[in-house]
Amino acid sequence: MEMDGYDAETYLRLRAEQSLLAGGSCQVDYRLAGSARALAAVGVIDIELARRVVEDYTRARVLRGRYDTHPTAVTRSALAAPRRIVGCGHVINVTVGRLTVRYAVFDPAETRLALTLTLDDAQEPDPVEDHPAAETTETNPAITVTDDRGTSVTSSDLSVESDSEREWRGFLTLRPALNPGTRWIELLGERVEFPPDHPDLTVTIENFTDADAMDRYLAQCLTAVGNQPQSDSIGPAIEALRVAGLLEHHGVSEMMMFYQALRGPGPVAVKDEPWRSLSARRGATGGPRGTLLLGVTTPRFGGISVTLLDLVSADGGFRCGFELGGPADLGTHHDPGLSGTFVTFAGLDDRGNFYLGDTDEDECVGGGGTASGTLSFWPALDPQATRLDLIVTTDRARALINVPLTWEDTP
Amino acid sequence: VTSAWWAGLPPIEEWISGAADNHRIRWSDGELSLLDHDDPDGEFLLAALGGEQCPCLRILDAWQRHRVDLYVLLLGSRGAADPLDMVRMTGGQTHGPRPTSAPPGGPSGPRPGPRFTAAVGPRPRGAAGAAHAGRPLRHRGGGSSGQRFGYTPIPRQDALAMLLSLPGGLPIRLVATVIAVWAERIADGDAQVAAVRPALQAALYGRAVAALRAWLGSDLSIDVRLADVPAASRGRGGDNVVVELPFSWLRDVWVRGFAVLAGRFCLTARQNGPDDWTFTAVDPDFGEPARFRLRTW
Repeated sequence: MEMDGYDAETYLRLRAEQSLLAGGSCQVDYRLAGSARALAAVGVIDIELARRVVEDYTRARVLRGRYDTHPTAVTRSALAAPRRIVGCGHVINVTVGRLTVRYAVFDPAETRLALTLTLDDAQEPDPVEDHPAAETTETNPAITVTDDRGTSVTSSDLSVESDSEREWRGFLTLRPALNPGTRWIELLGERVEFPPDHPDLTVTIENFTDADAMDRYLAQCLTAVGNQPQSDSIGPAIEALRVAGLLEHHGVSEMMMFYQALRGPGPVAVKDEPWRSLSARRGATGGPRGTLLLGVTTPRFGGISVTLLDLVSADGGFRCGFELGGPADLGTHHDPGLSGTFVTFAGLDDRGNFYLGDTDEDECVGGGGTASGTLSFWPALDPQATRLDLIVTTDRARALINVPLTWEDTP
Repeated sequence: VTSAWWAGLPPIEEWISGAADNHRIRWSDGELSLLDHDDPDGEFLLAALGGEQCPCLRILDAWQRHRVDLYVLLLGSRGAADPLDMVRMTGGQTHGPRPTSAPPGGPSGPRPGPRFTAAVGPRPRGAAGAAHAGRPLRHRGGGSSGQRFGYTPIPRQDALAMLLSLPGGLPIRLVATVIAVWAERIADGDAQVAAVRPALQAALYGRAVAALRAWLGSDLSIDVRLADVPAASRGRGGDNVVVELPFSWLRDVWVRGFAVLAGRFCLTARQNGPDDWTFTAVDPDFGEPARFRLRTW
C-alpha cells in the first residue's frame, strides 16, 4: 500500500498511537482533540471523522485504566430566552458592610439578583468559608424577596466569588421567578427600585466566508490561551497544521511570535494587529474604575447566543458577567466530542487597542438551562477610550457588541 | 511453503465461568470451539425465547461477529508494555477460577476434538484448511452483520471488552484473526481496504513502535511506515530510526511473538516446516538485514 501522501486521518491516528504508548492518566487525549479540531476547522478532515478518531482513542485509553479528566470547558445549555435585564445600584447596609444590588435578570423561569458585598473595615475578611472562589450552596442563607405584585420567593441559590478579600460578588437566584416586569422588590427590609430599562446596545453579526479559516482558527486558539499562556491547547493545532503543510505565510508567523511571547517573560516586537497592541500593552495597568450595565443578548449566531450582563473595569483589566446558550467549547481544553462551537471573547476599543477575554472554566457553570460565568479581559482598559466593541467569535461568525464607556458608578 | 496464518500460535484451552458449570473453550488452527455444548444454535434459539444463555455462547457469538472488526486492533494491547485494565473491562468479574482439579485431558493435556466450531479465520491460498468438526453457525462468515433469528447480540463495546478480557491467550488470538483477515484482504486488493487504510496503518504503527521501544529504549525517535517491502535504517545522527513494514508483518512476525529475537528486530518470518523458521532481522546498529534459521526439536 502506498501511504507516502499526507492524510489527515492517518496523522490523527498515528498521533493517537504515540500518545497511547506514552502513558499518562487522562482518559481523553486533549492534544489529539486539539489537533483534530484544527484540521477539521480548516477543512482538511471531516468533523465527523475527526470526532470518531478522538472517540475511538478515548475508548482505548479508558480500557487502559486512564480515568482522569480535565474540568470541562464545554457547556451545553439552552439558548437564552428573551428576558429583562435591568440595572439598579441600590445599596443596603448589612451587619458586615454594604450590599449593592448591581442589576437583576428577570427570566420566565427564575430571577437572579447580581449582588456585591463590601465588608466594613472593621470586619475580618473571608466571610464565606475559607476560599475566595468557594461557592456557597450548602450554607446559603434563606433570603425572601417580594415583588410589586406581592409575590414572595425565598432564595434557592447563592453563589459568590471574590475580587478581593473585602469584596464579594455573586448571584442570588430565586425560583420560581418574580414578576418579570416588576418595578421594585423588597429585599432585607428595604424597597429596591429599578429605573426604566436602559436603551439596547448595538449588536452586529458578521458571518465568515471559508477564506482565511486557518488564520481565524489560530487567532481563536491564541485568544483562548491568552489568559493561560501555559495552556497547550494551541500547540497541537500548530503541529497538526504544520504537518499538513499549511503554516507558511507571514500572518501565521506573526501569530507564532505572539504565542511565544505569551509563554515567555519579556515583550516581543510583533508588527501585525491585533497582536502588536496586545504585546505592547501586555501587563499595562491604569484602567478606569467603574461599572456598566450591558444587559444585552445576541441573536443566535454560529449555533450559540451570548448574554453580556455587566462590565466592571479595574486597574489591571476588566470583567464581564456572561451567559452562554448552545453547545459551546470555550477552548482551554477542547471538547473531546468536537461537538461544541468554539467560542472566544475579545475586545477592541476606539483607540485601536485590542483585549483578550477568557473564562475561568471553574467558574463557568451550566445548570438551570444556562451556562454562566465571568470573562476576564486583559490588558487594562485604555482610560482614553470612549467606546469598546466586545467581540464574541465562533468558527462561522462573530458578534460585535458596541459599548459606550460611560461609567455608572465608581465602586 | 506457505504457512497457515495460525502457524506458531499453539492451541489453547481456557475455562469460562459464569454459568452453572465452568465450561471449556478452545482455540486451535484459527478456530474457536466450545467443548461443552452440543447444539449452540439450539441454545441460541432458546435464549431468544427467554431461556438462560451460557456465557460461552455469548463469547462464541461475539467472536464470530468481531473477527473482522478493526476495532479489535484499536482496543487491543500493543504489546507487553501496553496492558489493558481488566477490572475496568470486566466490571470486576473474571472468567476464572479454573476448577482445582482439571478434568482428564484438561488444559495442558491431550484435548478432545471440538464438538462445535465457529469463527473461522482466513485460509492461506492453496493450503488445505483444517478439518472443521461440528455444525456451522447460521450466520457463519457474516462478519459483524450476522443476525440470528430473535437473538439480540451484545452491544459492540461490551462485546469487545468481553472478548479482550478473555483469559490466557484468547485475546491475542482474536487480534491475530482480525490481522489475518485484513492482511489477506490487502493481498487480494480488496476494495474495502482503502477506506480503512488509516486504521490499518495505525494498528501496525502502534505495535511496531511498542516493539521497537522495548528493544531499543524510549529515547530514540521512531518512525514506522507502511510499505510493501520491509526495511530498517538509523538516521545520520543516530537518534532516529525509520522502519518500513508491510501490514502482513503483524501476522507473520508480531502475532507470533517474533518481533525481537536473539537481540534482533525481525522484519520477516517464514516457516520452513514444523518448528523450523527462517527470519530476516536487523541488529541494533541497523546494518544490512541478516537471515538466520531457527529450528526446535
